[in-house]
Amino acid sequence: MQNYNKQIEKQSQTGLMYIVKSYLKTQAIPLIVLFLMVIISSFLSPVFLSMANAQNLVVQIALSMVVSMGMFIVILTGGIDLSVGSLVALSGVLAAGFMRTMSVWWALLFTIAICTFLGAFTGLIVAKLKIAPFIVTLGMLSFVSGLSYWYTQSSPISWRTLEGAYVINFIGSSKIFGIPVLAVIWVVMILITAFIMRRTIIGRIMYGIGGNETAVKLSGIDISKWKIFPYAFSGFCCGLGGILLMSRLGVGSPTSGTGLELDCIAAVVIGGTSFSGGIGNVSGVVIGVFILGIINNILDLLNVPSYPQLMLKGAIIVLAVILSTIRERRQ
Amino acid sequence: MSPIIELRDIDKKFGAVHALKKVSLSINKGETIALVGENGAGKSTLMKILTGAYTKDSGTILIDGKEAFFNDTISAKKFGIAQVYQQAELWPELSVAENIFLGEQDMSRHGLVNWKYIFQKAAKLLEKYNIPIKETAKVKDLSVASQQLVAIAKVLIRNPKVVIFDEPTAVLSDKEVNILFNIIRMLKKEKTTIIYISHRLEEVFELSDRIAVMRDGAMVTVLENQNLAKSDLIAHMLGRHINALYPEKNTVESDEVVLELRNVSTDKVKDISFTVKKGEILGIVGLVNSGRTETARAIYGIDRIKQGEMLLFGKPVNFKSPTDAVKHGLFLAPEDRKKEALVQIRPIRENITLSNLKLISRFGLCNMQKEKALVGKMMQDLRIKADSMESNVNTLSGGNQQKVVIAKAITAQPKILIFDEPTQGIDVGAKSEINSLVQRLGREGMSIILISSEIEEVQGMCNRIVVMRNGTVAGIVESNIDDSKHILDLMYRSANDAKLQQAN
Ligand SMILES: Nc1ncnc2c1ncn2[C@@H]1O[C@H](COP(=O)(O)OP(=O)(O)OP(=O)(O)O)[C@@H](O)[C@H]1O
Ligand SMILES: [Mg+2]
Repeated sequence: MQNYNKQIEKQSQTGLMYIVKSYLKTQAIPLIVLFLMVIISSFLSPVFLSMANAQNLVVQIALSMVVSMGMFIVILTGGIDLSVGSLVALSGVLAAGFMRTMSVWWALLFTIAICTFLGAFTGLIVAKLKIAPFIVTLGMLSFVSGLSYWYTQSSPISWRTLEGAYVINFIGSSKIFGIPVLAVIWVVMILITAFIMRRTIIGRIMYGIGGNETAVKLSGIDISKWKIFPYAFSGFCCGLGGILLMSRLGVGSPTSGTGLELDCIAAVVIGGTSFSGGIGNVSGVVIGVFILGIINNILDLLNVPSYPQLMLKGAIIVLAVILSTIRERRQ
Repeated sequence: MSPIIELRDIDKKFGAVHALKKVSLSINKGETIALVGENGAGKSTLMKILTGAYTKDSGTILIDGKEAFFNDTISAKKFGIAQVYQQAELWPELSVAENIFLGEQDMSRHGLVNWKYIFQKAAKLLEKYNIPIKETAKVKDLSVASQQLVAIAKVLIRNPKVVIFDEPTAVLSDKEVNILFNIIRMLKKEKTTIIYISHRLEEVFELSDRIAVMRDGAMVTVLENQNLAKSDLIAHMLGRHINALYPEKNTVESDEVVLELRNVSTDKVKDISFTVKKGEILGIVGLVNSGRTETARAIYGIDRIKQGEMLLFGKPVNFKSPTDAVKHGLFLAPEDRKKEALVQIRPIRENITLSNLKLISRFGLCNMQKEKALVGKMMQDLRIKADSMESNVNTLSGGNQQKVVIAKAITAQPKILIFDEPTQGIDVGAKSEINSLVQRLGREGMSIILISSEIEEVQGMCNRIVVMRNGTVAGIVESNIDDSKHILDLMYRSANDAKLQQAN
C-alpha cells in the first residue's frame, strides 16, 4: 500500500515535467524541422529574420492558422473536411455583402453564424446518417462554392459603408502595440481551441471518439450528437478565417480560399496529428502551420514564380505527410 | 536434458518502470513450463523479448546453446518460436483457411495462390487437432473463442518448436478450454516446448511440468509441479497469503425488483426472462456463444429488443441506445476491453472518468483536481500498477487494463451494473479484493449482473444464477442449494440436444 501511495504522490509532483517531456517526445520531429527551416531560410535570404518579414509572416499565416484549428479537431475525430476553402470564400462574400445593408458587427456575426450552421449541417449528415465525411464535405464544397458565385454573380464584391471600411481596415491592417490585429486574433483562436481540448469535456470526448468510438459510445455518450461538433467548429473557424482574408484582400471574392484544404490538412498532419484519429494536439498544429508558412514566405522572398511555387509546395506537402505517416506506422 | 532456451539476466526498462530485473530462466526441450505472477509482474514483457517484439536492455538469450540476437519477430519465427496472442490479429473478412495461411511462404507458387492446396491443408490441420471450425467459415462470423482457436491454428501451421500461450483461456469457456488442452497435450506428445501463462492456477497445475514464478519484474523461483499446494503457490506469487478468494456473500437483499426481463427476444437471443433485485449480485453463466453477452447487449440498448418487454423499477422501458440506458442508471463493463471498453491511446485518468464526466465537471469544464483525487483513490483501491495516472492504457499489463475497466464501471455509479467477464486476466490476489469490492457495492444497494464463464466464480459470488444455453435461459438456480454438476448439466444439455436433433 505504501508503495501505491508514493506512486500517486509522485504523479502530482511530476505533472509539469511529465507534460513537458511527453510534449518534446511527440513534437520532436516537427520542432526540429521548424528549427532547421528557420536556419536555412535565414541563410537563403537576408531579409528573412528582419522584423518587417516577421510581421509579414504572422499576417500571412493568419488564415491557415485559424482554419487549421477546425481541421485539427475534425481529423482528430477520424474525419476530414474538404469544404473549408469554399466556406472561407462564402464567408468573405457574405460579410462584404451583408455590410451593405446592416451594421458591420451584425454582418460579421451573421456571416460566422451561417458558416457554423453549414458546418453543423455537414456534421449532422456525417454523424446521424453515418456517411463518409470525405463525400459529405466534398458535396458541401461544391454546394457552398456555387452559393458564393451565385450570390456575387461571379465577381468580387466590396462593402460600401464608411463604418465597414473602418472596421475591416482595423482587422486587416492595423496593429496593437506593434502586433498586427490579425496575429492577435489567431493567437486567441489557438488559446480557445487549446482550452476546449484540454480543459473541457468536449475535448475529452473528441479525443475519446478519435481513439475508440465504440468505447465512448458504450460509456453512454451520445456519439451522434458529439460528432457534429468538429464540423460545426470547423465551420466557425472558416467563418472567422473568411473575414480575416476578406479584410486583407479588401473585397469578398468567390475565388478566394481555393486549395486551402490541402494547406490545412498538411499543417495538421505535419504537426503530428494521426489520420487514424485520437492522437495529436493544438501546439503541434501551430508548429505545422508555421512550417508551411515559412515555406510560402521563403519562396516569395526568393522570388520563385507562382506556378513553380505551387508545384514545389505540393511536392513538399505530400512528402511531409508521407514522412509523418511512416513515423506513425512505426509506433 | 539440454535447455532449448536459456534466458540470462534479462533486463528491461520502460521509462521509469523497471519491468524486468535481471531475469534468468532456462527451459528444457519438450517441457511445458508455466509462468505465473501478479498483474504487471513482467510475464508478457519477458515473452515479448523472447519473440523479438521488444528489445532487451541487457542480458543474453541462448537458443540451443548459441546466443541469439532477436531484433524483430521474424528471426524468432525462423528459430521456430511462436506466440499465440491474447487478442489475435485476424482478418475478419477472410475465411479461416486464408487467415491461417496469410503471411506464410508456401501460400503461393510462382506468384499465384494455390487455393485448393490451402483449403485442403487448413482442413487437415483443423482435423488433426480436433478444432471444430469449418475452414471455409468467415472469421467475422466466429465467436471470440473460436477466433482464438483460429489464431492458435495459424501458429501451428508453422510446426513451431516452442509455442508461447499468453493467457489463452481468458475469454474461453470450458468447452473451448477442453479443445485447447487437447491441442496442448498433442503438442506435448510431439515434444514441442510450451510456455504457458495463466492466472487460472488449476490450468497451471493440470498442464505444466514446472512453474516459474515472477514478482515485481524478478524471477522468484521455479517449482516442480509435484505435491504443490495451491496456497503455497499463491504465497510465492504475491509474497503474502490471501484470505478467501470469495468473501462472504450478502444475505440481506430487499425484495424490491429493479429489473425484470419478460420473454425478451432479439436477433441473437430468444425468450429471456429473469429478475434482478436491489442489491443482488445475479450471475449469468453459459458457454461462449450461449447468449450471455448478447443478453447484456439487449438490456443495455445496443441490440434491439424485438419481442417481450423489459421493466425498470416496474416501468416498461425501451432503450434505443447505451446513452438511454446510462440515463436510466445502467452501466455495462464490456467483455472486450480493447475494442469496446477502453480508449487505449488515452491516459488511465481519462478512461476512468469517461463513464461519468458529470462527476468531474461543471458547466462542461473539467475540475482536474477533483478528477485526480478520484482517479488516485480508484487506482489505490484496485491496486492499478502503472507509472502514473497519465500513462496511456496501452502501456499497462493486461490485468491492469482490466482493472481500469472495473474502475471505470464503478465510477459511473450506476444503479444496475452489468459486468461481462470482469476478472479476466486478473491475478488471484487482486481477484479476491475485487470480489470483496463487488460484494460491498451490493451491500450499498447497487444491483449487479455478473457474467462469467467460470462457474466457480458465479457460485462464489452469487445467490442466484441464470444458466444460459443456445441463446436462451436454460434454468435459474439457487447456488446455495444446487451444486455445480446441476449447472454444468444445464449448460451442456444443449450439445446433446443438438446431437439428438441431428440424429432425428
Ligand atoms: N509498452 C510499454 N510501455 C510502458 N510500460 C510497459 C509497456 N509494456 C509493459 N509495461 C510495463 O511493464 C510492466 C510489466 O508488464 P507485463 O505486461 O509484462 O505484465 P504481466 O506480468 O504480463 O501482467 P498481466 O498478468 O497483467 O498480464 C508493467 O508495469 C507495465 O506497465
Ligand atoms: Mg500479460
